[in-house]
Amino acid sequence: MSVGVAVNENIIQFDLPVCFQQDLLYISENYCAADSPGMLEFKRIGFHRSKFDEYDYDELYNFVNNRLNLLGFMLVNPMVVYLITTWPGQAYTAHQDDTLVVHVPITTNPHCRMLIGDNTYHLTTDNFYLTNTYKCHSAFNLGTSPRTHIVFSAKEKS
Amino acid sequence: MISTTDMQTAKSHTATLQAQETYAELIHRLTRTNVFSANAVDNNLANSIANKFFNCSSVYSHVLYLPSRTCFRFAKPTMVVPLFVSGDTVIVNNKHTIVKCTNDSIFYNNGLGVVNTGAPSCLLVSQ
Repeated sequence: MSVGVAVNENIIQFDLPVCFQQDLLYISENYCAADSPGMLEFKRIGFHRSKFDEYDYDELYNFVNNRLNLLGFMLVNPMVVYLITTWPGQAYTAHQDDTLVVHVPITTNPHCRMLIGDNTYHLTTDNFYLTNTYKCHSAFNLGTSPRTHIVFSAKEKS
Repeated sequence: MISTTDMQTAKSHTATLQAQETYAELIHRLTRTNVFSANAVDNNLANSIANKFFNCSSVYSHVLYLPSRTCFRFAKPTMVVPLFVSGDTVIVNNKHTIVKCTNDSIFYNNGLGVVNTGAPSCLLVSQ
């Protein structure tokens, strides 16, 4: 069983089983970011963060948490699950977070990149990623379709 | 009695002040405009730069204003000359390597992307 592949100190890539990929397809077909009340937050700070309650995240959460545990990390709070959308032509303000962040891409395009330190990464839908958001980071979408990710907060196991 | 030299100095000073005001107003207007905008400009300067540094010619030029938290990708081979940028603007090429966009650099490539993760920026763009 492959645990995860550390691309470098900024990001660890994990395989996502096919059953979860089908679940993500269901979310992408039923979730419409434009209708979400999170749009107000997007206008205020540039993040379009919202929730999609028609999917039970427990299984995904447990799977991600188990994988992280093998490498000495853990998810912070199972109740805090957000979907973040980056619109075409949008970039986030470069910032640092208090926690690590797990990204589970739902929809993306080849021109979406996450910028961590001086490197950029394309996050694909058949994987999930633990990202070192303690470092200054940003994300941008140079494509023509929205990029939506499920995000979980994570930290090192004490 | 005011001498001719004094008059010239005063005129020059007034002209400088007016120029400064105009420049300040321009920046103020640009940074308050919360939309992406591109204005066509004279192509001579961009053409000279393209000839000198990249041995190619420029067909048309725009001044591109990018508000904060926006990005833009050029489909064609494009030359980008930063006019005023913060340290948070980066250039992405088609191989997705990034370069900090600074005022002392000129960029030319196919599929360039400009990403603004900080303050608004203004770029001379020519194709």
